[in-house]
Amino acid sequence: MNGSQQTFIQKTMLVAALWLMLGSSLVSRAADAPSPYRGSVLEFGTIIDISLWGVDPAHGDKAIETLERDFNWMHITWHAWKSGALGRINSLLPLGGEFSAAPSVLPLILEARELSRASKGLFNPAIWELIDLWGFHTDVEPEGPPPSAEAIAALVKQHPTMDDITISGIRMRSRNPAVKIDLGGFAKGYGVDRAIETLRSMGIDNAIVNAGGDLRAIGRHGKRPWHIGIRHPDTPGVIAELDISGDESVFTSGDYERFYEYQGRRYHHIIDPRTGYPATASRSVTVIHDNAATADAAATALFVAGPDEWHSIARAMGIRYVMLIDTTGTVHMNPAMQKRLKLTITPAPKIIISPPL
Amino acid sequence: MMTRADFVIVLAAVLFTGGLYGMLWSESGAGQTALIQVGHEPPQRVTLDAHRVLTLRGARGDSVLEIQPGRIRFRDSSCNHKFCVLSGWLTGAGASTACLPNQVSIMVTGGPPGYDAINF
Repeated sequence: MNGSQQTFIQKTMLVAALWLMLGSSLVSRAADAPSPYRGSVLEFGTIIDISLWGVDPAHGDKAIETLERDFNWMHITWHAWKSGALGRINSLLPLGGEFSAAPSVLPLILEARELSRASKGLFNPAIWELIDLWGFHTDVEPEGPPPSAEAIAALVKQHPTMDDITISGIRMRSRNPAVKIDLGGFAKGYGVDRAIETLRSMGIDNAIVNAGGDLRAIGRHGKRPWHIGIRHPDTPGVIAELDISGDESVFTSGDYERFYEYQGRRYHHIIDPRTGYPATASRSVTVIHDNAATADAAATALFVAGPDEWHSIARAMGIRYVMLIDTTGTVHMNPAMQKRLKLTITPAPKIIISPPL
Repeated sequence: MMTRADFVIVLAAVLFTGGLYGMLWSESGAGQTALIQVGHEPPQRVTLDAHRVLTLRGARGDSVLEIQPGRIRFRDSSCNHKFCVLSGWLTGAGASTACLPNQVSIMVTGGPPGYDAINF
C-alpha cells in the first residue's frame, strides 16, 4: 500500500466515524423528540382537543378521561335551556321570588355579572330570551326564520341586564321578568380554566385545552413555545400565527361560528343587546388574555362593539391584546397585538393600528 | 491535499447526514397520521400514505373523508353549512377540524410540525 492509498483510507475512515457519531446522535435526538400526547372529547357542544407535553400515555389517558367527565358535568350543569342547575335558575328567575341557586352555577353568574358591567353591557348573559327568539337554542343547526321586528323590539324594551339580579349568599332573585341567563360566550372559557386547573393538579404543566377553536395554553412544547394558528374567517387557512409560552388564552368570536341563512340573508348568533339584532360591524375578534373566561366574554363584547368602540371596551375590561376584522376585511389591532402576531396571508390586508391599550 | 475521491466521500457523507437530519430531527419522524373520532367512540388512527376515501356514519348521516399522501380533508358531510368542508386540506401535525352536527372530528398527528392548535 502506498502513502497516497493509506491517506485515502485514513480520511475515509475519519469521515465514516464522524458520520456515524453524528448519525447516531440524530437517531438518538429523534427518539427523544416525542410529540404531544393528544386526545379529543366531544362535550360542551363542541370538540375539545387536549394536547399534553411530557406525560406518559397512561397518565395522559387518565387526564383526558378526567377532563371528559368534568366537561360532561359542566355541560349539563351550565346548559342554558335544558333542565340542569342553570335551567332551574332560568325557570325561577322570571317569577320574581327569592330562591336558592345551585352553588355549582353561582360563581359563574357572579363573574359573568362583573364582566358584563366592565363591558358596559355589550357582553350580556341576561338576554336569554333574545337568543331563544332568534332560534339559537337548539342542539341541531339553527334554521330560522328570524323573529319579527315587533317581537325583538318588545324584548329590547324590557332591557334585561345582569344588574337586575340580586344575589345574597346563595339566595337569588330578579326584579326584571325578562331576565334569564345564557352563559354562552363565557361558560366555555370558564370550563377551559377549570380544565387547566385540573391538569395542573395532576402534575401536568405543559398543555393546551382547545374547546372548539378557543384555547388556553400553559407551559411549552418541550424546548419551544406552543405555536398557534388563527384561522381566517372567510377562507381555508390561517390568517396569523403566534407563540405562547407560559399561560395564555386565545379566544375568537366570529360571525361564521353559528348562523343560518333565510331568504338569502345571513343571521349569526352574536346578538347586540342594544338592538336585539345580530351585531353587524365585525367579522371576527381575537383576544389574548391570561384567563380564558375573561377572554371568552371579551371576544363577544368586542365583536358587538365593532371597529368604533372596541378600544374603549377593551380598555375597560383590562384586555391587552385584540385583533378585530371588520366587514370590509380591514384588520384592527393594538400595537402590543401587532408585535405578538405574524400575519401569514398574502396580499396583506389593510391594517389599522390603534393607540396602545 | 483533498483528491476528487475525498471530495466525493465527504459530499456523500454530508448529503446522507442532511437526509438523516430531515428525516429524524423533525418532531415526528414517524409517517404522517391522523386521528378520526366519531361521537364518543374511541378515536381511530389512519395513515396518510395513499389516496383513499372513507365514509363514516355520524350522528346525522355520512361524513366523507378524503386522504391523499400527507393530507386529509372532509370532502362532504351531512351538515348544512359545510364548515368542515370549507376547512380544506389539513396537512401539518396539529391541524384539525370537525363536523359538529355530525360529531366527526379529524386531527393530523404525525409528520412535520404545523401548528400545535388552531384558534377560530
